[in-house]
Amino acid sequence: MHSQIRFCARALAAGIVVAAVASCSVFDTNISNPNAVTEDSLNKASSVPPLVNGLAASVTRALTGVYGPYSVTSDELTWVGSREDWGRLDAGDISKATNEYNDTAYPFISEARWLSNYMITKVDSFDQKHELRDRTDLARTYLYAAITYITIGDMYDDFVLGSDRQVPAPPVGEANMRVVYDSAITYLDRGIPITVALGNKELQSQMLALRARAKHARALWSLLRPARTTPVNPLVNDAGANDDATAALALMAGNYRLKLTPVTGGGASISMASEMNSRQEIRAGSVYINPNPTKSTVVADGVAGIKLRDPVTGQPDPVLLKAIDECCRLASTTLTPFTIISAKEMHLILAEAALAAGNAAEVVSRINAMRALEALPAWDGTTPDALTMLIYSRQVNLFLQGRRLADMYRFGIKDAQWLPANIASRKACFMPIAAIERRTNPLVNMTAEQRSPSCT
Amino acid sequence: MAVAVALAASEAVSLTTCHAALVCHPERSEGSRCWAEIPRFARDDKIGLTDALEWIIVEAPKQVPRATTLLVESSMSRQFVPLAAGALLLIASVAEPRRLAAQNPTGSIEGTITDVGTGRTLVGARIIVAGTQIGGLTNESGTFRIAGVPARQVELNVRLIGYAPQNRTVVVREGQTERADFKLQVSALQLEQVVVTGSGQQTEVKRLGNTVAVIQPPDNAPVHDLSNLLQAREPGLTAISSSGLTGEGARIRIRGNASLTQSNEPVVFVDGVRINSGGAMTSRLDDLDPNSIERIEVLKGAAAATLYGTQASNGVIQVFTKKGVSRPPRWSVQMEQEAITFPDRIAPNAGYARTQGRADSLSAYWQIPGLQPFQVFEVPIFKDYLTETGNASIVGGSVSGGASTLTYFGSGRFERENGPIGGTRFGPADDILRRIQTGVNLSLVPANNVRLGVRSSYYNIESERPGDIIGNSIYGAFALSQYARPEGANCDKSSYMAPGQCDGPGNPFGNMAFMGLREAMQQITSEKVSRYNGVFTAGWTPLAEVTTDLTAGYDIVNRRNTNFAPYRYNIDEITTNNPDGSRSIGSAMNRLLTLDAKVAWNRPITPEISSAFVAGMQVFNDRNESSSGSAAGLPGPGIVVVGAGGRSIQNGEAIATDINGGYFGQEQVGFRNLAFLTIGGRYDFASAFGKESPGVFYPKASLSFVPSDWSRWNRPFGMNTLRLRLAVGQSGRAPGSFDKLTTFGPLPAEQGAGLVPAQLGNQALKPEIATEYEGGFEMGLRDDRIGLNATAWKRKVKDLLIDQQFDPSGGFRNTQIANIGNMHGNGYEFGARAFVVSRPSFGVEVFANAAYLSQTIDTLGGGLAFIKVDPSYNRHLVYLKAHDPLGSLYAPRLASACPGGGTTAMNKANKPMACYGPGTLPINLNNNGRAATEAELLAYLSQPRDLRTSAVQTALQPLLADYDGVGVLSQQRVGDIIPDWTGSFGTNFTISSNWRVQSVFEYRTGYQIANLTDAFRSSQHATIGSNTKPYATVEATLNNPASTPEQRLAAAREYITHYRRLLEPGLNEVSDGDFVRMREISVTYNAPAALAARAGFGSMSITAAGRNLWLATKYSGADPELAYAGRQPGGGTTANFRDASEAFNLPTPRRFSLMVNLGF
Repeated sequence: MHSQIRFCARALAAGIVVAAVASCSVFDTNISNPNAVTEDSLNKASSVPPLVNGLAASVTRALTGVYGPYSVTSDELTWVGSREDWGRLDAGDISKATNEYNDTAYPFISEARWLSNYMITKVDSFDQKHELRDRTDLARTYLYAAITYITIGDMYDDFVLGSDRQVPAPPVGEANMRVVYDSAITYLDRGIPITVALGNKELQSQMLALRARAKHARALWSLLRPARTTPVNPLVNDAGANDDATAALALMAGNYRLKLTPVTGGGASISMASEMNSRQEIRAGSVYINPNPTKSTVVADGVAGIKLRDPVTGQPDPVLLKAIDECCRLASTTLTPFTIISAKEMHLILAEAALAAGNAAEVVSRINAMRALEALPAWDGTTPDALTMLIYSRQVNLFLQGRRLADMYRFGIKDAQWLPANIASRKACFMPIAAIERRTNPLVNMTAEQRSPSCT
Repeated sequence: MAVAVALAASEAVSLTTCHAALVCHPERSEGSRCWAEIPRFARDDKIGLTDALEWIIVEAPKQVPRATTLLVESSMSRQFVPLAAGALLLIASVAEPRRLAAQNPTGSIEGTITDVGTGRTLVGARIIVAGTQIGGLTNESGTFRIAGVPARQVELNVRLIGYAPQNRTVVVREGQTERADFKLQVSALQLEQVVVTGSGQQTEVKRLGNTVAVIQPPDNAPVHDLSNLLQAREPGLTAISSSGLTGEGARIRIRGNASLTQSNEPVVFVDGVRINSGGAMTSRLDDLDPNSIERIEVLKGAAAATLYGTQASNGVIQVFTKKGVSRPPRWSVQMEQEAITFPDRIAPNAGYARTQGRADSLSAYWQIPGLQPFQVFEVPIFKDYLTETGNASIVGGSVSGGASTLTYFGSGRFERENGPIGGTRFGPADDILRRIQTGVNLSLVPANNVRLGVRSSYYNIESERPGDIIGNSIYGAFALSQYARPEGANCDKSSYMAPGQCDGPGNPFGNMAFMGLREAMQQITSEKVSRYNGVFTAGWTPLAEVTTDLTAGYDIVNRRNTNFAPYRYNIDEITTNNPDGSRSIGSAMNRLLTLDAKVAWNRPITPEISSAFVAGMQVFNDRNESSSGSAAGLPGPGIVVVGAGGRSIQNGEAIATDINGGYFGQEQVGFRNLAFLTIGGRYDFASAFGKESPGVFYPKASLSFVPSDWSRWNRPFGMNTLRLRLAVGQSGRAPGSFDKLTTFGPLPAEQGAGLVPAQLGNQALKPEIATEYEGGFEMGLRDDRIGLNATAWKRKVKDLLIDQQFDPSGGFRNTQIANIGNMHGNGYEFGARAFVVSRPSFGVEVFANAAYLSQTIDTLGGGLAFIKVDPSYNRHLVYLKAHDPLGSLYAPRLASACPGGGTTAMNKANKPMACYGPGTLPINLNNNGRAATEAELLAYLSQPRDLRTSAVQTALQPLLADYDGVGVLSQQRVGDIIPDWTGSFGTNFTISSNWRVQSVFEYRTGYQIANLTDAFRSSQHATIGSNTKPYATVEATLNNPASTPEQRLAAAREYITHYRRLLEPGLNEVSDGDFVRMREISVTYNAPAALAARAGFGSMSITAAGRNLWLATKYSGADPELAYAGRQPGGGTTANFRDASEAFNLPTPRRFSLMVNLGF
């Protein structure tokens, strides 16, 4: 009996100990994730600053992706490496949805688009409730959202804008893509008064300049698409764009640029800078640079590397030299900056409008204002002619800023790399909705292997 | 078979009830001891364990008269002792052990165990004093000695894998040494083999309705690690070599893939404790010292692994380490020296000059006289410049021994390997592996019914290799050796010294992009692993029918990885990849805790029916913490710390904890020792589903029937043994702990810390559940000298976890895992083993096995048509599609000749497809959509054509056909990467008891390999490869102005039908991978005892061995059994389905070794 009692006592003690062990934290299945922030935690206004920064980072990361295939299709970059899909883009085959670079870049710009809308709703709600510590965050949200929407408009023939998480939306439609610019302008319309109220001149100038760019791009879109042919009159003269450009210039220093620079690689699956400077799949196009004589995949050092000549001096273009130094001679870097808007672009918008309006003096004034910033001798207004000078000035001052392909289409410039059968030689086409979206969005009525109807 | 159970007198008095009436044997009983014999079936059923009860010794009070029925069961035995309580009771009992053994008089037993056929002494046979924890192993001379045996009549059980078990009664007298020699009969069947894994307690194989494979390390075989040990041993278990690189482990697959997205590696235990079996650069499985392993038990799927619950659906591997035995210390020392070479399977680099001037330069550079323009020449860059004969040295030793209450086994092993890559010719990078493996096992038997064990192991692994040496890396030395075009070689920036040697910057091998080969060899990747693994086990048998076990374990791995490119490592001025150096470091800690407690209750229900019940719990806590940092732009030579980097500075940290556990119970009912029905289940919980989520119940059932144990069995068809079995069970795989959450992750911006969408989240996640059915038989012929076994199995996996890609326009780029798919698989496994000759002078043993595997996805769910493996890389060809074999390859296919000489052909959908008719070729000239005529082609080829130019590539396009009728030319099914059949066979020859020759061959068949290496090397490409002789000949012919149009036409036909690759990813890239490989061969001389003694040793053997010496395959690539990029054990579709994809993988090296084993 005594042994039985002792046994029972041991069993009881053992049971208690086991229960204690099993319930201690080592075996507690209610664990949290210390590596990320759950969405539940973002419902307070204090979450706004990191979210706005995240939107900036997301947009920047998206640019590192989409600028690659866009610029390789244009003459700004050319394929010198091993991956054939760069070669296909270089040869003008931009409308293939399964091109791996378009396919890789698309989710990043989509993320930036979704996050823009998510943030506008969230931050605006906090603003309505006067919970924002700094309304600059709301203005910045509008700014980054506008950059995202303008980029989509500049680079894609069609896009899906309305999807939310697992709820898909149909594409906007090629004929309706103008709405992305409208949205961008709306966001900037809302943001600019905030900057005025805050007295934030720099942010105000950025938003004004961006709105000028949005209006210019919207007008260009109407000019170029959906006809997809080289327009008889390729010049834009948009009053709204001109007003905003003028207003922005009034607030800007002479050579002002708004740049977005990635801080880290950030998990980007595609990076234009990395493909240029590390992998050496692509490099600056042969129109612009001279390759290194012993290594054709990189640009030759210094001035010797610049092929494009300033039409006034006949010397290698110093503006392009700076741009090449910034983007294309930084071994291994993935962190090159992207210029979003600049004082020079405002001049270019105004110069183009003046040219369209027949105001030759204004054209000369604007072009020479830009040249003066680089200490270049003045252009006389005749040699070369104004249109050539405008095209050239855009070419060097907007190098690798996502404008060139549209300029090539509207000014009838063909890349020597484009094969005649490829779409870029035949139509003013841009990037299509990528295969990854077509495979996963049941509302996109195109298989991944198909091309957009107007770009076949 | 017998178990003797000694009960204290006081307990015997308290016995009140009984299942088996015991009658004291009139002759054998004496004094206070009563010898009681019980019926056979009752015996077996009562014990229900490894051993049946033949005699029970009861130290009964003197007043119990002889021939009196004793009631043997305490009141305790009818209680269900809660499993955990039982386990803890064990601890309690340790604190107050009943040292019965110490209190009673003891004696010793010694003897020799030999093979009855050959007369050869047997090493490693286990002798157990039945019913106690006392036992021993035979040493290198085949002898054993067991001290501290209770002085009474005891039963000795002798077991050795490969032999029929034997039992004998021995009367032990106090202070005396008894002699007990055994002659064991070889047996090709092992139905009495005792196993533990998956059954909850020690159980004979024949009682289980599911298969439990037992692998015993072969003596003197060229086995260096656990990956080697698992390879080619067991049907259905494949160890897929990741690459031929020093230190690289193998991917382990058992019955294929039970998951698409989760890890398909089995879970691994060592002595009951779950261990980290991951690793990438080196395998954590291979940390274990192979010389310390006694045996490995393998559960092949859910039907057997149910009691392990979630994570076990790909099977369970349990390693049992060697334990000490009661005897004086025995030392053994192993010394091994190896030579390691790559087989000559890498095609030389070919090229040609286009001008006479260049041909002259190349003649001088490569010292190949008389080169002419367009003459193809070859330089074996990999073989002659990048490799050497590697070497390895291994020294190991062990000691085992002990007394009656304490035994020990200690081992240590040191291995150093300098593999066959490079040496120091090009730079500091080398392929080095160093392993230090130590372990101690202590077993304490403080009382006859108490067993305590402690195992403590420490491992230190260091590995180094050239950066990015394997896989499709543009900065890897091996890849760059394959990219190189010898016609581009030069020393233009410095002085020429010899072929492939410049005294300064140059391009000595003709690398056209990315990096020079010499530069690649400046980069070093290293890994250092420090690991401790500790196990505590306790077993208590409070009553004859009740045993409790507790196992607690701790496995901690600290790993540090570095990648380093020194300052200005771009010695050839080719690379622009961080030419001023870079460094990245990563540190990771993985800690895995195990707690396992169970209680078993084994008893007879009636004389014919027995019960074996076990219940318990398991919990695993897996904690991972990692940190990393990297930077580029080192400020100067000599500095090697990441903090010195001036740009691209990044850091990271990750923390994760996964907790998984469950309660399990199982009842096994035996009938007349002939049939055994097992029913059980596990209630499982996991942190992946949170505290509030209900657990998951996994049931199991099995039936085993051994008609040959029936007394009336009359050996039909010569079968002396037959066992039939049937099993069904479930197991699962859980997602990661954080997969259900909607999260935002960090992404910094210039303005500060930022957050972006990370994971969409899915609150409905649950484990994917595999249900497996299996049935089969074992059959013994000719006194079990021939053993056959067969198993058929079928597995269904429901709620398959799929990486669902939602439309990225919804904002979340990353895939979200969801339970939306179903798949099934089935297979057959066959094994045969025969002792063909078993004579003292000569013995021959042969074995063969085969496994068939078929796997199909039923549905992917979520509207998914397919999942592309490695979606970001369009040169990877594996897609996961419903209704097609798992791991299918899809690629474009060239149009065939139209049937019957006509001009039309129909596809599988009965629709017209492209073909080429008479006078045409499958060339879609200038993309005109039809087969070009020879006349058109001759016109086009009337002038030289350069395949390196996009214009010619665009003109000479292949005519593709939609054979499958799917409407997508690029997605024609061309095979699958998973072999239909795998298996092995081999022989063991024993000659005059001193010589032994062993061989193992392995084969795989019925699968295809996508050879991306050759796709680059045997096709047009801008910068990579295009350098095999056949392709270079085609290109040179098309380029050569001296070629005729007809010659160019023939070359164009060759180009399109064989060498048009990459531009249409997958075209001409897939080929059969079938192979047979001599995995192991060894010749061992065991010195006679007298000779060994003269040398001062107790035993001595010398072995000459080889590993991977011979390969038969039609596959033209480097190796038909390589996985794309290393082990990748963590899961994910890309990692899971990169088998049989060759992309710059090193071939499996050949190893020649000489081993000496000494015992003293």
